[in-house]
Amino acid sequence: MRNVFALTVCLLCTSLTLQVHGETKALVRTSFVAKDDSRSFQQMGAGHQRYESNGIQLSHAVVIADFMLADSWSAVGVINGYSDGEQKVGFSELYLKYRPLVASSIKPEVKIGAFFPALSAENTDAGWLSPHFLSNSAINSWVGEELRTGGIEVSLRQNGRQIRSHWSWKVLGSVFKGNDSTGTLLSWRGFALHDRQSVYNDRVNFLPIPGVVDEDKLNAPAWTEPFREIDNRFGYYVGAHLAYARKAELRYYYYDNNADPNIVDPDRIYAWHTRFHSLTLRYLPRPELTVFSQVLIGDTLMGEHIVDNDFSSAYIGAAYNLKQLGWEDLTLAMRGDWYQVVDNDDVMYDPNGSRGNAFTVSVRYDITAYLSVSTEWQLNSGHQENLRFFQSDEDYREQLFQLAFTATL
Amino acid sequence: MVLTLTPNFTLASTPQREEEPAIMNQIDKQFAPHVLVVQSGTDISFPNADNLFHHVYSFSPTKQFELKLYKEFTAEPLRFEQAGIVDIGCNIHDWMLGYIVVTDSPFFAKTDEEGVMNVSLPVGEYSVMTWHPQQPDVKLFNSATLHITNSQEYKFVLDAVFSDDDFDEGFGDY
Repeated sequence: MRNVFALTVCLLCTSLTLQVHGETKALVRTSFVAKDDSRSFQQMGAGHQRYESNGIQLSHAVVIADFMLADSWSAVGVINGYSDGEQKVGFSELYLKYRPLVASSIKPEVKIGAFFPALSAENTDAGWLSPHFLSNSAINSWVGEELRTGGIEVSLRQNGRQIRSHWSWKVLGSVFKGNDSTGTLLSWRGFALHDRQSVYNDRVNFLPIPGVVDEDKLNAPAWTEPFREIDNRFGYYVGAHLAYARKAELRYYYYDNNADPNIVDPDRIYAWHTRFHSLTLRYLPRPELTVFSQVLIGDTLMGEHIVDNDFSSAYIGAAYNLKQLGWEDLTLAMRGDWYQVVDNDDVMYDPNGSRGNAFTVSVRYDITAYLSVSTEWQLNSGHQENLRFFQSDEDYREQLFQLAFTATL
Repeated sequence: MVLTLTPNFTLASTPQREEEPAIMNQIDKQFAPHVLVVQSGTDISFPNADNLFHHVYSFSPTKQFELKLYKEFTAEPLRFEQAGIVDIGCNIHDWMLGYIVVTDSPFFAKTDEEGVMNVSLPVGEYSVMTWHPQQPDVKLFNSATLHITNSQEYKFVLDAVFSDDDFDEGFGDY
């Protein structure tokens, strides 16, 4: 991973001496937040929300730079800043893209560096933000915090319009390093719904479960570093996209970080062998209506069945623009989330089971092309077995209200 | 729908060619116009009205070219000498697709949004060619030639529904 980064940074620097043409975008989102009293997981609390306090928060400050380098090569960097979390400023993505011009309608592309696998149908705005919601689904909240490709992705694609067909497709495969700790948060904190993306060298805290942090138990820290390389093995994923015109799109991914679950690094961070299937649907029955859905099914293993969990989650959401009622700047969005983690191991001091569901309603008003205001209410309730060490019952019920102003440049 | 009419006789006077380059613009990640018809020998300029990079290309035998169009940048016009159909695309935005129809005849027309086209012609016999991007082999006239004597009006109904793809940013870049 470090080598890939060095290569990317080196090429970025080299580009500065060439004649480069770049596009730079910036986005700032400040939110007024009213949340429950529960302490956030980012403060090692039992809460599943990102914000550490009520009041005005810097939800996102994002700078996206896209530079054309030599023929067919471009470099993309995304820098994120937050008022919450451990690493408040850093890169979330940094990669080179090779997109050669070829005569065939089947066209190749190669990405090298650090970037999101494109398995989400909701994080389609610049900076991997959602155009419809302030918080992501449970699935993509997890993708945002624990998943990043640090390697190479090769794809072939064909656009149907070029061959007078309604069908477009893309197939891809990737090998990567890092992501060895992926699965930690699902097991020890459970799914959460938020929009805090981990940046490189970030740390994500969680509740210090006695069976995890006690020296005579797992003796692990109550935090994880999401993209850390621990076992020096390569992981991989494969994916396929299929689109009908620009009305419907399916994306399937199979991911396997191929981690050796018996390796632990000097910080007592374990490698977790995590695999999953992800199926995403995006459907536009009418131009003003978008329906999207995603299903995630996977498992994670740490040690000799010290942690052996199955996890699954699904959501369905819809966004409706009110232009037919004369309010084309107003968009309503709703999403229902369901999630669960099933504990299959016999380690009694580390119960990992959790399940829950969430309902999110969001309204966005575009004041100008560069300024929007969004308001969102979310109810997330569930059951998490390891809460028994901290409170009288294992249930939780969390509400979050946000009023956010987003400025783009 | 594009109609070209090539006179099968010698014209008394050659219509004056347009001096200004024709324009194939790029607006909101689409080619504008979607179909451009020009007489062979015409220069076409490719401005980029978008605030982003486009990489316009053609691999069509009629005219092959590649233009890197930085944001709000206009490349030097290209001359289209050979008659034929030129498919143009953008290597960054695969769904961008446009067509340039190059004809040797000075007489051509393209339907407007109402599906209407008008062309003024000297009296005589013409070879006709019709073309539509989604039905390139469509033939509207029974014969390959058309004899024009006075003002004539034709009505055709294409047995197909053409709709622009509903454009949405959320789809992948393919």
